Amino acid sequence: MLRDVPSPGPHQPLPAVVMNRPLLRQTLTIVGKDLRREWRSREILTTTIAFAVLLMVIFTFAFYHDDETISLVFPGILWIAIVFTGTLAVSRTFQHERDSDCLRALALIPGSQYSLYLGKFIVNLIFIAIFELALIPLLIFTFSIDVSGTLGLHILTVAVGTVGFAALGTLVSAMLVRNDLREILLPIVLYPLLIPLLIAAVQVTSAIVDGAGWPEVGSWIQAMIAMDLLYALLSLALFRWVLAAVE
Amino acid sequence: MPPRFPSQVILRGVCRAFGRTFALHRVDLTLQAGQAIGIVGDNGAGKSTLLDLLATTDRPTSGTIVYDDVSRQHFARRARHRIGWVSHHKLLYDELTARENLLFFARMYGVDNPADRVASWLERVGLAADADRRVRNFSRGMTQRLTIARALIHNPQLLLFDEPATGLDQQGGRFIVDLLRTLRDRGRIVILVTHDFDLLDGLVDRLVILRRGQITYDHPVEENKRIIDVYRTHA
Repeated sequence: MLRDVPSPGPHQPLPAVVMNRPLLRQTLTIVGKDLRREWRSREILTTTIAFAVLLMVIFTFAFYHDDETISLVFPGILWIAIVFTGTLAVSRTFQHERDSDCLRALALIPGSQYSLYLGKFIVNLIFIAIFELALIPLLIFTFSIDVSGTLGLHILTVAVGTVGFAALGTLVSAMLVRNDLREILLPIVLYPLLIPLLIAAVQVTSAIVDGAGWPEVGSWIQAMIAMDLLYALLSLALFRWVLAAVE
Repeated sequence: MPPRFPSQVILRGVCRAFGRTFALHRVDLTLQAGQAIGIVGDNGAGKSTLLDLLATTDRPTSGTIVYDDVSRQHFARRARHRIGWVSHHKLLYDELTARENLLFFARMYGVDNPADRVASWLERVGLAADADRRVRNFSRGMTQRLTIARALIHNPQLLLFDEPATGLDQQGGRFIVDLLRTLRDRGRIVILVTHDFDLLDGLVDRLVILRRGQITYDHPVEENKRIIDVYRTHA
């Protein structure tokens, strides 16, 4: 009869290797490693910031006609730029794990199926936040958007939308890490799943640009937070299977 | 979990098929603590597949693998940290230094005093002077030494080494032999897959020859008998 790996009783202490493996420590170790790596290579941030600015310039020339159309085109341009550039960022965070084949080494570490997801999710959030810090002020300046009195709502909307995007993007990026067509498949798989969140984000941004406040957009933002939670919890639950399939 | 877990790994009737092709066919094997087992065979004999199965990163198509009396599934879920694996791939980050790579894995495993353990392993594998150089700039031999330190940093019990002497000079080869001999004498299960018969001589207690996915020879190594001669006779 086969037995489960026994839980140690008080007379049989686990080796230190097994006892000290809190999720937080592993997650922060992965975040620290990825940020250090990015600081040295500047691979993701330089490409995403350049791509975001380029997108903004193209969209501005393509869609901007006069001040009357600002509230129509600004939300779309903002969220398309975030999603397209964010896709570039999330597609890269698992790439170096694949290149070095370190996914196999990580898969042998207990608890890594959760810490790897959380670590990559946080890293993606940081990268997206950095290019948003470059992109959004430029967009606001270019379109002369009046954010006085609505800045907090704008920041909240972008933050909530970004969390949902990073939560789902991290999972899908991991799913496709071994696929040779991953650059093509990532948007094809990811964007349909993001549609509810993106519709809400564009609606909220559009309403805020038109002068709406919390009473008008509060329920939309709450719905976005609910979607974020759903994406994050589902992704965390599924990541173990994804890792088992790609290791 | 006892520190020597697993002290025994038993494979019974293990098959691994890819489509209609069997990479391994009805493999029966018992691996004991304190043994160094050399696994040899031609390309495509199933050696790497066998290591993948032992590392629980692959599943047998049929047959059972048991770690002491723990099933493969439970071992894969809860005791994979008992494995130290040197594979074909270096499993290291090029952009990080040798020290940062080892610290990363030591912290991920929750090793006590990771900085001290890392410094000790860097010294042991002869990379102390290059500890703060990026792996990208390492030679093949230096990378292999670091790979070995990475695989052993968490003090594993089941050691799977796939061509560990690749890229190493003579001194590096001797270092591997000494290291694996020490680990074997300390009660680890050492599995060594290689084409380097000189590496196996004087190190392994037992030789397993695989041919087209089947074990054709599994016997203790006789004293004063060179492994290359045994291989030529039975492969």
